[in-house]
Amino acid sequence: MKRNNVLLTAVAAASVLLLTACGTANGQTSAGGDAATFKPKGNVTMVVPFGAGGGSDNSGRSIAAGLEAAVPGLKINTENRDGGSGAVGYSYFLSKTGDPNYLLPSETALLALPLNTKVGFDYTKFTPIMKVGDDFTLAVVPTGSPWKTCADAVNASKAGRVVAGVSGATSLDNVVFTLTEQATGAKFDRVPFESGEELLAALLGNQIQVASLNPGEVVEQLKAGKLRALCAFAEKRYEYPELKDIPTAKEQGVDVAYAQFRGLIAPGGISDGARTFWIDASKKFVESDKAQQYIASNYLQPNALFGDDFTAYLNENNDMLSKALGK
Amino acid sequence: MSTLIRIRGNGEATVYAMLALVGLAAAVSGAFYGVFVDGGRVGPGFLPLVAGGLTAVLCGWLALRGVHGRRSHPPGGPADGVEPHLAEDINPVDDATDDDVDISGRTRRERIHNLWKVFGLTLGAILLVQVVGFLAAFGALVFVISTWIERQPLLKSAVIAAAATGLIYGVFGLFLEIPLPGGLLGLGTEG
Amino acid sequence: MIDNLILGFQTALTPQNLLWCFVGVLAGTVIGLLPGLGSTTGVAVLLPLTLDFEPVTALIMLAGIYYGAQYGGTITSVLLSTPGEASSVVTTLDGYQMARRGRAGAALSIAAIGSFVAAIFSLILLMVLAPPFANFALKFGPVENLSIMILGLATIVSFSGESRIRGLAMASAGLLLATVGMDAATGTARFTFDNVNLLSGVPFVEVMIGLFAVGEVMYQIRVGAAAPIRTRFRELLITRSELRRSIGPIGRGSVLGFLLGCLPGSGSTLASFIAYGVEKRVSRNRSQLGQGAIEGVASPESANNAAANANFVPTLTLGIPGGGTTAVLLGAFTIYGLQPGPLLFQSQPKLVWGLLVSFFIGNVMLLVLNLPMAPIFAQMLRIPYAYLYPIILFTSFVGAYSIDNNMFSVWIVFVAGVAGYFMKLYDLPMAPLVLGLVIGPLFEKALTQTSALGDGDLLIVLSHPIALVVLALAVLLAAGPSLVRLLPRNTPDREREPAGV
Repeated sequence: MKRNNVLLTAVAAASVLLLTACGTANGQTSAGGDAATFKPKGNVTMVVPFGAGGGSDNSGRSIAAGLEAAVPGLKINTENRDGGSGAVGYSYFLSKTGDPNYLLPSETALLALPLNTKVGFDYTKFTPIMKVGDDFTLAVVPTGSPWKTCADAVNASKAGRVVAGVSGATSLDNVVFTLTEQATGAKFDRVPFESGEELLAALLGNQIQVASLNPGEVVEQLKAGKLRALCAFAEKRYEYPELKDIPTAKEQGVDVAYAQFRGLIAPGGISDGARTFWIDASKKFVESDKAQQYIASNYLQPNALFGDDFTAYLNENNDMLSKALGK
Repeated sequence: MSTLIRIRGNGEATVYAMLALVGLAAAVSGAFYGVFVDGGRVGPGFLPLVAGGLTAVLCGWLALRGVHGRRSHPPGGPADGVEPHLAEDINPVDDATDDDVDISGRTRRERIHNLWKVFGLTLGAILLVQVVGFLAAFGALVFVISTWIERQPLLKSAVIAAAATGLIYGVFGLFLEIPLPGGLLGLGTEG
Repeated sequence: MIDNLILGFQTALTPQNLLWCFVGVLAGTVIGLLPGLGSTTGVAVLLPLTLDFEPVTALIMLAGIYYGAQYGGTITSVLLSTPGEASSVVTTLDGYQMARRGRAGAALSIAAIGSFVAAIFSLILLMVLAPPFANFALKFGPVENLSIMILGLATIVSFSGESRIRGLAMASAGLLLATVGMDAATGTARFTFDNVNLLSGVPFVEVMIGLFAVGEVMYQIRVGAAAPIRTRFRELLITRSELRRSIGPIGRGSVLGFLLGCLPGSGSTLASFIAYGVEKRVSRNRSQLGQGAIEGVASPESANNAAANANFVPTLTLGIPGGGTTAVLLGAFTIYGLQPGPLLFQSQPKLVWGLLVSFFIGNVMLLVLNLPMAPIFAQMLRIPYAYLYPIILFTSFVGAYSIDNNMFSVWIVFVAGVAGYFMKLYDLPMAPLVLGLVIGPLFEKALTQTSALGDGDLLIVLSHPIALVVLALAVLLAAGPSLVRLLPRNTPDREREPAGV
């Protein structure tokens, strides 16, 4: 099953290669379904605003391969435009306004960046297409920690100093800690790190007491018994067998749930036909095995939203985020 | 010869003075970014202040020493554990006069002219990327430098420039799939 | 252990894996050669090619690119003063001087030999002692990292040429340049002038290409074309005495490189700088370092290779990447449906041991490839400079573009090239600037974290014994000469090669 998918990806990747080699001469792409008014001409470019090998890259390449499988004849090249915590890629994408041949695998940086830094874009400048799923975080501690639940951590922080590691000022985990503080009156003393991996090392080396990380980042450490999960900052428990025993924060009396979304956006100012085409293609993608595999291997909670629903979600999320970041 | 040294000293002093000013400006703006945050923790302005301040002080001192006519490197020796490196390589050039010609028979003045021409041509090539594309702009740069600056035969230069462009297209464009800008002519490997 | 090795050889020695291992190290050498394109970019751009491979084959090839690039990065550093990889910047100091004296072949050979010895040394440690080293590495938190960065900065005195003040001034300028961009802790945009490209800071690979490659080209135009270096083939080979002089530096470089490489995030560039700094203190020929001493090539090249391999210690045992390229490799694991983590050795023995054994095979391939190639590559210097330098310019700029597919990189190279020319003209040392730029972000991060851990009190360093030991080493390295003068002197090795200065 998995093997099959890998093969498919490979075939898709190989054909992309071939096409690139032949230049952009391959004009016609036959779009299936009801969006007959619009078909992308030539190759489509997936602009990944982060470096290769990371979460955004993984999501961009998976969605690209999935869309190619869902729409016969569609060809998507993936390009990494890394820099400025995503700002360079999003700004480049902004310059493609009106061009329906560009896509971008979006995540919370779309909202967090404009809130925190002066950049030329915000989420209203783009066309939201699809939200694939949510990536919540788990509060994790070293196995030797006395805390068993998130409530323990909150109480400890009221009694004394609790050192929490976060991966940057606008990061998801920092937002989660801030929301927890706002909800419970806890106080976490933050030490800034720059990535999930750094936080893992600091937890394993007992330099920090608690961190909030995506399940995909810690699941192997949990399995190996090196770390313990206290709670999941999610609305409902995970269904994955290795995560299903982790209670939600709400179950422990800490009413906080905040996820990083994974989705797909198109440039702003594209035609209605183009928007419909990409939404239809995305719907086919979400139902495919490829999407299931992507969601499962990254431990996302599948919560697909399309078009206007996704826009509404972004509005809501943006309000919550600006409150948490104090903007 | 001593005049030349003094001119060089002044040029050097100018460079240090500029660096000192940059350091000073950075140190001052560092203070605005917040040197300490949250009650005494190192903040975003701390390193700009420290590094900028150090740069300003050290470069300022080096600039002053240059202006006062002393060569800023003291006579080093093994006793200091440091060595005058490359001194023999560099000095003949700077102390040389116009009758110092290289193997292509060019005087020092000509070479300095060439240097600025190459800088200008490179700048031109970068600007031309948006118009004719990356490969064409830099392929042309290779050709123009070989023929105009280096006065090499036209045909040989053309062949070498074309071969270099082809090789780079093969490695970067085809093998590594780098989306090189194609400019208005679309001669790139984008999309 | 033996079972695991046998399993590893069975996996790595299949014709398919051997072939792709070879393709990987060859591609790595080429990618290392090209300025700008380092192993991180190389692995990232070639990753999609391997999607239809067996995971072990794909990882063998990608890892081959990684350590192959360490070998390739040296070649242009020595021949053209154009570091292909950041970890080869230090090699240009002595390697390029050797090349200008017709000893390019020797420099390239010792780099290959040193890299090979260091690789084998660190691979044996990696196989036998990875878990204890990984646990030791975990003890290096922010406070210990801060002390390591100070140790790195202390090596500035070794790179300052004639005047230590110039070195310090340039290092401060480098540190200052490193503060450009978004501050990780608070998200404050510093010195970015509202340019989004600057949010992630001044990219040091581009600066390095500009300073060293473009700056050197411009400086050579000013100096005037020299006659191409013509040497007979025999003279390109390494001599017995050069080999003997290199034993110590290779040993010290390997050990230092391995230890630093085990720490997540320190990287091989820092290792090469510190190894050179140590050599400048302890080598019998330390007075020649900087003027084309073979120790100045042997030591950093061994260190960066040992560190590159040691990066796999935290990567394979903990699932935490040791450096930029291993982070991309970890991403690749996930793409192949593997979960890197503490259980990898148990759950995927065939993959892990096959990969480790392939490192041995790949390094043997690289040695066999590089030793005979060294004199041949050295012949490149026979190309008339009139044709060579425009091509160096072309390659430098296209290499810079390909790092982020962004013209901004090209502009950085141009500006740094102008700066590099003036620095060369006025004899401002470039290595301390690069050192400051490389260490700056790491230093600032460790400083901010230490200060946060101590709630504003940096003196918590005093309660960390490892940090204190490293700091003591830093003092020794920086104040070494004054201390060494108090000791009885070694007699300098008088039977050295004719230095030619």
